[in-house]
Amino acid sequence: MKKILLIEPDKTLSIVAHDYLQGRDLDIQIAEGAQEAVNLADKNEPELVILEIQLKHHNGIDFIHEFRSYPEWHKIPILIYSMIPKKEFPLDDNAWRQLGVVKYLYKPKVKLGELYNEINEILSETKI
Amino acid sequence: MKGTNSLVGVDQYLLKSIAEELRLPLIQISRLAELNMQNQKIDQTDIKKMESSADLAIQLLESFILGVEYSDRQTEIELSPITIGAVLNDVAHQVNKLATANNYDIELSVKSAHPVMGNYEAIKMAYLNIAHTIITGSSKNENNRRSSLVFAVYNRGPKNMAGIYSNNLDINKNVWEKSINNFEKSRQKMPEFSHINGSGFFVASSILEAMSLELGPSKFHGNKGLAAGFPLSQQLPLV
Repeated sequence: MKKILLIEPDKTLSIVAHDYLQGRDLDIQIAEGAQEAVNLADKNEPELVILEIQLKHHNGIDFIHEFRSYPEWHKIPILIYSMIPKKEFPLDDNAWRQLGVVKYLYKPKVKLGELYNEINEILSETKI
Repeated sequence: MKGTNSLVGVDQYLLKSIAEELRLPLIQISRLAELNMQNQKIDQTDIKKMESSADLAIQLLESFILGVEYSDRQTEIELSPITIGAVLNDVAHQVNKLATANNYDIELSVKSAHPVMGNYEAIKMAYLNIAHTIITGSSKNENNRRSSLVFAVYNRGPKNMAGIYSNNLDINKNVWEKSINNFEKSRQKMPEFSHINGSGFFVASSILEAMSLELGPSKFHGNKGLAAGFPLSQQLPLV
């Protein structure tokens, strides 16, 4: 089973996403915040990180920089699944790519089924 | 017509903030419904209705937020050449299930393929709101009586008219202007609707107005509805 780290501060959404994706042969680890995410990544070595960029006590962009500061996690792709639309960040596609963000999905418009399809696409393209 | 931007007053930031906050519980409901659709022991009809209601509410809130951002120029509207018929076609497909469930038959009548300047996503959002409001706002469509929902694009003078019409909608210039004038005074903004206040129309109007487009009552082949005129450019077809 592919290991995925889901960083989602909302408990209901994290449980629902976990149950939906876990039922589709994905091993989902949930972290509510940045520190927990780092600890879980250290323990489980995920193949993909799904990140809500609006975290408690943390800016998601700062988290990405911190995450990328560990050489062993340089190549782990990050999929942003957020309540904040991409347009609110002054970053172009190239800047997102440099952060290792392979996809930016806007949560209000993307359902779990579509999220699952995107995950599959990323995992099939990624060779760590 | 009184500009609907004037509907967005000093409370707009508070309302926008409330709208943003309301999305979360609605997304929770929608995603919970999506998850439970996998569970065959639960009545799928109820779950689908729950998901659809939550999704419609999310759509309305998203559109309201966009309307406020556009009205206040917080977000720059990027315009590009688009075919308005393609937008309406897209909207018609997206509302097809909801329309069928509410006894509406969708008809497409796209008589012009001239490109116009606009923002595809914003215009789509505006017309989605119009369609959703017509479909969900009417309580007359009971006893399996079928109504039509017509998505039409046609040329009128120097403009490409794009509208959504129905034989189950009784809206005219008087009703529309009265509704706008009564917006802040009356609980029932649209006399046409009993259980909703037609906010989707006003949200659509504010999004279109931010692109200097005016939404208003219109008629098409005997059906009444709302339409906006997109100025035609002689240069665009050459691009």
